[in-house]
Amino acid sequence: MTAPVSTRSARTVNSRPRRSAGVGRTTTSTKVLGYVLVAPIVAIMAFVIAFPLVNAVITSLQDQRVIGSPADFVGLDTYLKVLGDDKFWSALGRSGIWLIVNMIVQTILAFATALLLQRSGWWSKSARTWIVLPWVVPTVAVAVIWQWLLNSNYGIIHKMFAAVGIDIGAPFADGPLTLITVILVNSWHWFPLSAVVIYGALATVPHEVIEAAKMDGANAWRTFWSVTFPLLQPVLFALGLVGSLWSFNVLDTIYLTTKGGPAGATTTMPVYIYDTAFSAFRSSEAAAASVLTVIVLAIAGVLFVRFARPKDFA
Amino acid sequence: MRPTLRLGRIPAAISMIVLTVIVIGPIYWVVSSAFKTRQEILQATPTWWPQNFTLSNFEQLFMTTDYALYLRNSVIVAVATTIVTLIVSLAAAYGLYRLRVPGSGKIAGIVLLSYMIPGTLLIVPLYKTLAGAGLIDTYAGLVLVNVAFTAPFCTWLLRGFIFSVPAELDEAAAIDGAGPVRTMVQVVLPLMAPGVATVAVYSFVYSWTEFVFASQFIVSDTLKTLPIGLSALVGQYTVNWGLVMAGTVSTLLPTVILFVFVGKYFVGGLIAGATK
Amino acid sequence: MRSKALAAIALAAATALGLSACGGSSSGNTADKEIVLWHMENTPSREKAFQKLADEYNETNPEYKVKIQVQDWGQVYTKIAAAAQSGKQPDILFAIPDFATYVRGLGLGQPVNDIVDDVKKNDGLIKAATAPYTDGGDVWAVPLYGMVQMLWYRADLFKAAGIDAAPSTWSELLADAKKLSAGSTTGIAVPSGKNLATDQVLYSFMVTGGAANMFSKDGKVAIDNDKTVGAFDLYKQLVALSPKDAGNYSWPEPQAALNSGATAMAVEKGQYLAPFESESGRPASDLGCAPIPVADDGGKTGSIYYSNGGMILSKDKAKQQGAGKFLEWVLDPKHYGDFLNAEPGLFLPVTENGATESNWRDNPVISTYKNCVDAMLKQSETGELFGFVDGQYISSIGEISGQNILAQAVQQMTVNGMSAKEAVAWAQKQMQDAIAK
Repeated sequence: MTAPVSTRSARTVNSRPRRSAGVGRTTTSTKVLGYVLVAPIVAIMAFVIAFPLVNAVITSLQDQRVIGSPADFVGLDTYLKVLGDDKFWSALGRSGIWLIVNMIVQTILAFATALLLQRSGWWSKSARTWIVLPWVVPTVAVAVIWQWLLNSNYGIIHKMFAAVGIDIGAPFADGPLTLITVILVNSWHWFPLSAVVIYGALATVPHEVIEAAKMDGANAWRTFWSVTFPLLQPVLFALGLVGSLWSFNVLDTIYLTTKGGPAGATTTMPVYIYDTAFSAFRSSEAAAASVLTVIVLAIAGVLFVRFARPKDFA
Repeated sequence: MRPTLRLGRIPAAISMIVLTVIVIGPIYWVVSSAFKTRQEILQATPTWWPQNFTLSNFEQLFMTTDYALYLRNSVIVAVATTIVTLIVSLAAAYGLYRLRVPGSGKIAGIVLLSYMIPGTLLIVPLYKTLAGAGLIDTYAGLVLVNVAFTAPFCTWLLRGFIFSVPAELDEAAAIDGAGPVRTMVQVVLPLMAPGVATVAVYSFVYSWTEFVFASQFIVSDTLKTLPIGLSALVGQYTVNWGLVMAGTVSTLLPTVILFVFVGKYFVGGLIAGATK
Repeated sequence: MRSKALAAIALAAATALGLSACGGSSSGNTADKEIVLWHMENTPSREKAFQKLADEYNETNPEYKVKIQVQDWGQVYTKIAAAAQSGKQPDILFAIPDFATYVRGLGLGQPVNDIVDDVKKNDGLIKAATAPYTDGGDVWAVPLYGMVQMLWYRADLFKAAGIDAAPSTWSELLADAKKLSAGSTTGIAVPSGKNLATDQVLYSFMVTGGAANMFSKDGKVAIDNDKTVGAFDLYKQLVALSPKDAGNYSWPEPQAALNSGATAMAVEKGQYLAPFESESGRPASDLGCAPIPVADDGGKTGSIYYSNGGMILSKDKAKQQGAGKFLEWVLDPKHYGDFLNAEPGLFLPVTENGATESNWRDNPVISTYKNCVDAMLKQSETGELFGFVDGQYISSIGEISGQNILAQAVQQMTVNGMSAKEAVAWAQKQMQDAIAK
């Protein structure tokens, strides 16, 4: 009964997603079913995210120190304090660097992997199972393992480079370079997820279109850029947007390796917020910083959607 | 499957080697160290294969820690998270994108907003909320929190799968006299099997590796999950490296086994519909 | 119509089932006659040892049985705060002094003078053990086990370099470290990551440099003085002599370096004893110990020292009594040795009886390294902890230790190139800001 997957997708890939005309008459029963179906996710998100969020906004308008201790309402004073803190701004800047470099590294790795996974050799076949391993290792283990691998006394990576005469120094302790190290570790951990999503997207591009382009004389690169890439845009857009947000909010990889050091070189915004809340015991300031972060991300998100949104993305 | 873009021979070969080294390399090193003695792990000249092959680290892992208990808890929480995420996100995706419940744009916006919030912020207020509902130190509390973070992305992921099932089938079913529920359950959902597989694997892995909320909201020893057990091995003041390696391998193994069996559906699932 | 209703019910039921059927809740029934105990010693061997003791105690059929729930230092600060607000705090909480100030700040805990007096009478208590919990005459936790730092070194490497005695002054320490740095071996390995390990090792040198007190008499931050600068300067030189990635070291790395012979010296607590032979492959006699070297002038013997204590958080009078009973039972010489041997060498007795107790002494690690153990006990007598020096009780010390300001100051020197003087001034300001309004 069902058409083979590829042609089915082929038929719908190039056409717009159908509007509600014809998809179940919008009778009352359909409407009610619709609301019933959407209710659970709304309820869960309200409970888990909305209530605490409101709580946090309220806290940001107070001068609370230890979480939950009695505090007075101080209006926007806490916000002013946070905005006047140098560390807030350097954390924000560092988060920007963190985000951009992570996205670059992960995109390159993910794309390369996705392209290679498409092949039919034995490497590609086996890689389809083991390429996800870094994602599946709990972050605690990722942190311990990489610090151990890069240790100057017993770390294998250190020894390997030393054997060819390169001294990699102290990847986790070298001032500003530490940020790069942590970004690489973080990218190692997360790139397989993007790789698999892109691989799936690549595979939906119908062969006929590629063949047609080839027959028109386009070489591989031209085919890719003018044919494949536009078809990938919706997926890349979604991945880029959600992936950026996830990346921005990474805390555990950084905290478990350098705790934000050395000398603040890896203190991104999530680390700053965590330290302010739980190491310095100033929860109102942390809440204010969080609200400001959400505002910044929301603005960035809106801009991203406006400028990078592919045409028929609903 | 014909590649849409082939890398030239040499760049491809180099890339394959690089990827193999950076992914398999560290994993291999951890696995081989799990079978080494503590002394061999730390010695100045590393050994590629254990000189004194030993199972003592694993023995210690199972004897002195509650690994089996953590494994059981992790499995329960992960399976429950997967099932609930599937139900919730399939329902939401169907309602939003098939039945076109108004507000799908707003809901997409809220989904995005939820990922913008730094998780730190949520810890204590969420603890209070869960405590108020009696969900601290329960499987249900953890599952609830996990689902809240997996369901939005999974709903979005299912969007493409929903669209790939042609609308004509709905019309055909309606003509046959099926109500909206029957259409949903008997016609559309079965065609979304790959989407189901994708959501299942994603939420399972998310739950399996989740640490922050699990460590905050579980209080008793009997409910701890594997990441918590693993982090306890990196203890205060001292670290037993052999135990840490064995612990990591034992945390990896179940998911690797899962992937060997389900992997092709996961990846194949993304083929069919991560578009749009 | 009916199928839609059915679907709605099915969906709701499935969701509810999914949530509650897996509601594997832990306790619930015997909560009345139970005392809940939280501790953060979550390494497997310590967990097992403590649990064994709790089981032994419960077998004596006390009125209140003890139920242990092991936590992790990384989460307990938020957990206890959240628990305090929900009224779900444990009855007993094992704490360290700055954590105790935090817990008190949450409105939990109470003076345990009766229990402490009893223990003093029966078993004798080391003064340094109660000092950091004593505020205005009241003691807020029952000391249970102490920890102190020593200079650990590889006797075999010392011999090979022709050094016949451990260094006792700072200049000797630096000279020996330089002498022992050869090839791929470094003379010493001190941590300089942003963590508690760095705070503690640096502080030990502040103590032996005469700068143990970080606060003035009226509780203001007062570290900006020559003695502190001297200690910071020494530490900067020690980091330069340590492995190049010391900038991210905490506890495990210096120990691994010493055990593998990559370094010849390290400063830490007694956790170095137990794994030495198995990790290094060398005989126990190769592990040397010595008091921490003192400053050439104005120095005094000493080290960082603190006791872990049991706070009683229960608000119920009967449970408080039950908790006190358990703590006294633990400190009783008949059981105390087993308690301490949860991590032999690291956990030191806080009672005078405990120090001679054969139960403790007979442990293989303790007996093999008898000399070092005795040296540690001696060092404990001159031990200090910042925030609690000379009878002071700085209740906001948590805000300083939580942010690892001492460690951050070290990083200012090693990464940002600050001089010791600049780093001390920087740390002074940071600490003032931390406890200011």
